[in-house]
Amino acid sequence: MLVVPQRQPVLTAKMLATIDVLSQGRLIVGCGVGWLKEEFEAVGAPPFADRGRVTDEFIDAFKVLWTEEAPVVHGVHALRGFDFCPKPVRKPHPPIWIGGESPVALRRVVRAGDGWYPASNNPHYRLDTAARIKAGVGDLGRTAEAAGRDPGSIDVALLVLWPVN
Amino acid sequence: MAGELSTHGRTDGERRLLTGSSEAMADDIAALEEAGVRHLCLTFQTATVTETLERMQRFAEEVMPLTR
Repeated sequence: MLVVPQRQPVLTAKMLATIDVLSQGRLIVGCGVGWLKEEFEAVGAPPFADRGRVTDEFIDAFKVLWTEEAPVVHGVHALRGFDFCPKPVRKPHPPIWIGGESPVALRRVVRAGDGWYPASNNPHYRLDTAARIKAGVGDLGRTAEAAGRDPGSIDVALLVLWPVN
Repeated sequence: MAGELSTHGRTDGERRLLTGSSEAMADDIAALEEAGVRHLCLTFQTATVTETLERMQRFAEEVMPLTR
């Protein structure tokens, strides 16, 4: 799981493509927006308040870099006129699982994700029982349908963050 | 993880998923599958490697067979 806005996007895309190639297409890219403001400041990331927008921009950049022969990346890190290789062996690109439990996170999954990858322990959006997770999957499905996407095209993975015991 | 969270019971009386008896955990996994969950990423980390390995072993031997 990456805290996406804390990473340099081109270097990160390159590292992930390398992992995908070395693992023969077994990489799944977990993408989170982050939650700890002090951590952003400590690593010199873009402002905490911009983390959602920056995450969207960087995920879009990953896809462009992984799939296009002559990638052009717009936004605050504008890039053009270079080769990016090797491409991932997984086509069209390694699956992107989007973390987060809020309505904004569900919309991000629908827009940019291959899977929803919520954590079990967010006190604001509790997913600590199967019934609550079922309700969350229902919310995801309605969000997808509202955007014209087939809910069945979205994988669901759960990150259980307390020790299994 | 800084410290181990309480794993059993809750103030509202519900049991956190994937805690409790092996049978309860297997029931949780079945319920999650029914809810549409296709992948589980689990935490076994504890204060010592020895105990972490013991927990992983116990899950593999006592819970996973109940899910098949």
